[in-house]
Amino acid sequence: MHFVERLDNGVIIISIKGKLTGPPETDLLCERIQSKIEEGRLHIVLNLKHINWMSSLGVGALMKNLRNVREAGGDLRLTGLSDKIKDIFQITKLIGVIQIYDSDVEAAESFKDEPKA
Amino acid sequence: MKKTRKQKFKLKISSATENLEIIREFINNIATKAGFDEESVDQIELAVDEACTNAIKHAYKYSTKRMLDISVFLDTEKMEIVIIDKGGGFNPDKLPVPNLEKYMRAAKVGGLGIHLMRTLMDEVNFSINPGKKNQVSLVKYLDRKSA
Repeated sequence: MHFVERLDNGVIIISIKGKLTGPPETDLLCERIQSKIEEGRLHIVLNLKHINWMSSLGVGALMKNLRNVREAGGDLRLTGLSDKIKDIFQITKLIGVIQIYDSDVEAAESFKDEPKA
Repeated sequence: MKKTRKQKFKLKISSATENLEIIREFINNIATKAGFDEESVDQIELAVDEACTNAIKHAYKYSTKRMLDISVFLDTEKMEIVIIDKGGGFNPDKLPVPNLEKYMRAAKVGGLGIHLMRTLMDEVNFSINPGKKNQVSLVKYLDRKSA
């Protein structure tokens, strides 16, 4: 699993490449998000464009991270969802609890009016 | 009455998450050959992935020394995938429908995989006999659209 990170006006945008089907990938994602929380980066965008497979364990990992970031006072938002991943989110109802945007720019701007994390 | 010809495919593989990709490819090849459209092939693949993940995680507790038996039965009407493990079992009827909003407030989410399987496939049946033989059967019909 590969991570590419960049900062956009205080928002950390993380692009991930690989699959989210359970350990070790889901553990690596959790470690990465936890390190951002510890650095105080609480406005996080995850770009899933290069995630080619996700199972319920991947959905569970996203939920865990979303909850951890929100508990720390921030939020985790998603971009780059393929139709396949959208279907999985629809079935698991993840679509109702996490904010999803069409692009990284839109997702980063969505944090604009929120207090700096 | 004309007898429907049935084809059988088998895969015996060690219980490891790294092998899920091999399992998915095995299933993908057969489902494609059977004539399912791309969306249905994806759905079958994901349902089988979830069933095997359940066995690896819950029945075998990630022990790679244990084996999974996967059989596929194909006829002109449907594809049936039977996954067998010999680990600890569970009662699938007692699993709650996953509630992600509740998860956001408190406890760990459970039953997501089985919910996915039941949504993606036309039929899902469990036969649980812990330590002896746990079996999940997943059926997809060629002329039906489910999820």
